[in-house]
Amino acid sequence: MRRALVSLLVAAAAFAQGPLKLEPLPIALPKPMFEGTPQDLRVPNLEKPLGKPRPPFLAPEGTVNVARGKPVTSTDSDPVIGDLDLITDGDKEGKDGSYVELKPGVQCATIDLGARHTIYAMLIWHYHKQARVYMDVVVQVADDPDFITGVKTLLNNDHDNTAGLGIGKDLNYVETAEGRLIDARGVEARYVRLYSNGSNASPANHYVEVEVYGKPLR
Amino acid sequence: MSGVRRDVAERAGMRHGRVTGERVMRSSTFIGVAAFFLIRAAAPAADLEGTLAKVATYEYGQSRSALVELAAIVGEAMKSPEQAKALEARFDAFLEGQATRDGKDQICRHLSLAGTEASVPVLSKLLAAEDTREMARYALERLPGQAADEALRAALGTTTGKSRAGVAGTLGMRRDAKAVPLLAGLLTDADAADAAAAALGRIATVEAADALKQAEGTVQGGVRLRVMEARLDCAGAFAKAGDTARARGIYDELNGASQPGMIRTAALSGLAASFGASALPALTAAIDTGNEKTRAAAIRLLGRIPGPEATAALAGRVQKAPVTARVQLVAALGERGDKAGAAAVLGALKDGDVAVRAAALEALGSLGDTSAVELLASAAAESADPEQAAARQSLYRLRGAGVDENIAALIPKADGKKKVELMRAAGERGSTAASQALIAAAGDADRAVRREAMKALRETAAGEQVPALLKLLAKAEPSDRKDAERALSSALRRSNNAGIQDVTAAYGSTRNTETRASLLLVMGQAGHEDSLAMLRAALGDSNADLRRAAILGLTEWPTGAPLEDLLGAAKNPVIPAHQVLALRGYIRLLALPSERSAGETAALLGKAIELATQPDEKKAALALLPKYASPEALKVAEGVSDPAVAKETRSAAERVRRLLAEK
Repeated sequence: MRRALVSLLVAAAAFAQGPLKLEPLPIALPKPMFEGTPQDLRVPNLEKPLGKPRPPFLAPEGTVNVARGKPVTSTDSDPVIGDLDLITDGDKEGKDGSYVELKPGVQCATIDLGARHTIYAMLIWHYHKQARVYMDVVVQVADDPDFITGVKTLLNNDHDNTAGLGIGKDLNYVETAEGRLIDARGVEARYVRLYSNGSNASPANHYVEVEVYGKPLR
Repeated sequence: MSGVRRDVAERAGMRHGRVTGERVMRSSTFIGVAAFFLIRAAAPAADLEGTLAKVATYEYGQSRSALVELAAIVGEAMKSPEQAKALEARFDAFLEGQATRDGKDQICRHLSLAGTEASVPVLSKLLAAEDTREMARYALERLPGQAADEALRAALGTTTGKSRAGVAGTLGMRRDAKAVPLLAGLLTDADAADAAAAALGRIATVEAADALKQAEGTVQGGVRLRVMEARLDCAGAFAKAGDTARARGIYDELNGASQPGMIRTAALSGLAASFGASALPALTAAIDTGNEKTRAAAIRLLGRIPGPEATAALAGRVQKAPVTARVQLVAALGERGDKAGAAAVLGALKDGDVAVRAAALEALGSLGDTSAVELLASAAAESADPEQAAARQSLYRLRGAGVDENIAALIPKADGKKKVELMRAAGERGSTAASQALIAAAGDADRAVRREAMKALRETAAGEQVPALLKLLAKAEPSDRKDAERALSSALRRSNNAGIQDVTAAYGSTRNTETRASLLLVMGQAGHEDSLAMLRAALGDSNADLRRAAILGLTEWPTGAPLEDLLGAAKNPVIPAHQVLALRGYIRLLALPSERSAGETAALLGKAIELATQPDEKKAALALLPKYASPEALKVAEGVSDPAVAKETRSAAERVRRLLAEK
């Protein structure tokens, strides 16, 4: 509900500058594929599952995934499995070959959108072959590649500053084929950075896909 | 005889005699006393009687200490035939005496391993009683000698229901041929028929097989299936013993078209395992006439039979079989790896069904050779999943002389997607033969080709390619620069920094800022001591971009060697952003393994916090303090007063305190 209200406020602000049509984000979900033995999901601060499909997310007309095919860099330049390109290659399937595995510990991936964009939402799939919870997930945007200028934190569920990016109030969540939708509230930035610190199932870090829904700034 | 031992002997023997009668009392007392003296004469030091007294009252769920003691006593006694004999006699006496059911059960377990024919009389008595029948049967099942067989056969006539089924099973386990007539008579028993059939299958004499064959025509339903399974067991035993004619007869009968599918499949399996190539007619007939499951099993079995005949039999059916069978036939040809099947697999590439074509592409991975490279690359480039995935995987695992060289030779000749697929294959195969072709492709006009070439070079390039990679980096477009840096770093890593001199030389000779900045990053990732001086010098360069690159390069350094350099850069920044980057690098290097004490590292983290001008770096340093829990770490945390990081400071201090308290 809160997310929807915020979206409406963003839309309303935009409406003040001219007529603005909202429409659901054109999200194409991958095939659900939980496999193997379920993991122990006793993780503190865990969000209760919605129990039903996520409602559509409204954004200004013409909003698209601006991260598709954009270059990705990482603190792990030599991934254990896969390649960093997989994060923005459009393949959201959970199968082997669709994800990149970064080394254990706090690692991050940075997407360069190529120019400043108005960002309305982001969708993240770390790994959805199992119901996992990734730890210390922090999502930031910035105007420079060093994340010094215009840094804004969109999500932070590191409840004890393990990752060194500050204590966040967001809840841990279970990975599913729906991905994690983050309401970016029309933030303006060029770079998107995503941190994680392993999961309840493995100390390694994974990304299947990251989508950034927005529009280029004129 | 100690008082305790006397008391136990009385309890185990004499008291039992009072309960069950004078004759038994005398016998038990005699055995007990004889056993005691025998054990005393040659016994191990362990207190057998004391242990048995505890076992006599044992019930499941109680302490197992007495059972552990008993196992030790048995283990010791088994070292000497005399002691073992005496112990067996004592166990027999125990079983006739007063003891809990669970205690006797434990003794039976030991007798099953350590007992002899001497125990049969006692166990026979237990076999007759309802509550001790199972434990006695357990022990008798493993006792050597015919006496146990006789006792069990006798019990077959006195037991009913599940107990009789159990006894039948035990006779089967003992492979008692004399029990065959009795067991055959039980094939119509409602409770024991299944067990009797299984026992006959295990005994597997000619008589047992005949009895089963005779019963197959009269029994119905599940029992008939058990009888058939038992016949298959007999056939397996005959084949193993060399009586192939009899085995073949049974398998052929049970492979009849009217037999149940699972029986027919098992018969085919037996035929294939026992008769190899001579089972080909039966297997091909099953492929041609069997239902879907039988056909699938027959294809699988045929695929495992060595020799050109089996390959020909599989290959000859690819075109005529239904779709699912075509997929199975092609997969079987691929799995057996006989190149003679390649022609049929190549033919299947033109099949109208996508699953068959995908199976053929997959099979080519094991059947193909260098001549399949171009075909697979084209399929990977021009098709969609599942064909594309199969073609790619086959291209990656294709073996044989000249495959890597052929891929390398085709890369310059191919265009677009096909070129990309060939380069991807070279990367997946880690093919050093393709390095030169990849270097050339990395300068292609098509960005997709350039990127794939760089990616493949990350998996293939080594020290010899460093000079060429340096040239590529020097003329790389901004969008390709990261790819070029990564390829160069990988080549250095793979060659254990063999080309680092070329890198440092290139840094010294070029004036291009972007190239120099990239080289500083590469040198930082390589972490070779020869390049540290260059990175340090670049910290003082007049060019801000190079200073930034030097900070980032030192941040990547694999050891803490440049700690002081980064601290210095953080203390005296010309550009505020460089202070942030230097502090981040300093904090990262502090977290690397080192010989510093926790307190020393905590103090260095304190320096970072003091220098930090914005909350982010303070948070990063505070996050590390618990890793170096020490009084110094607590002092650092307690000294931070910036309200912007109050939560993080409190959290760090609490965790350090908790960790110190746990130490």
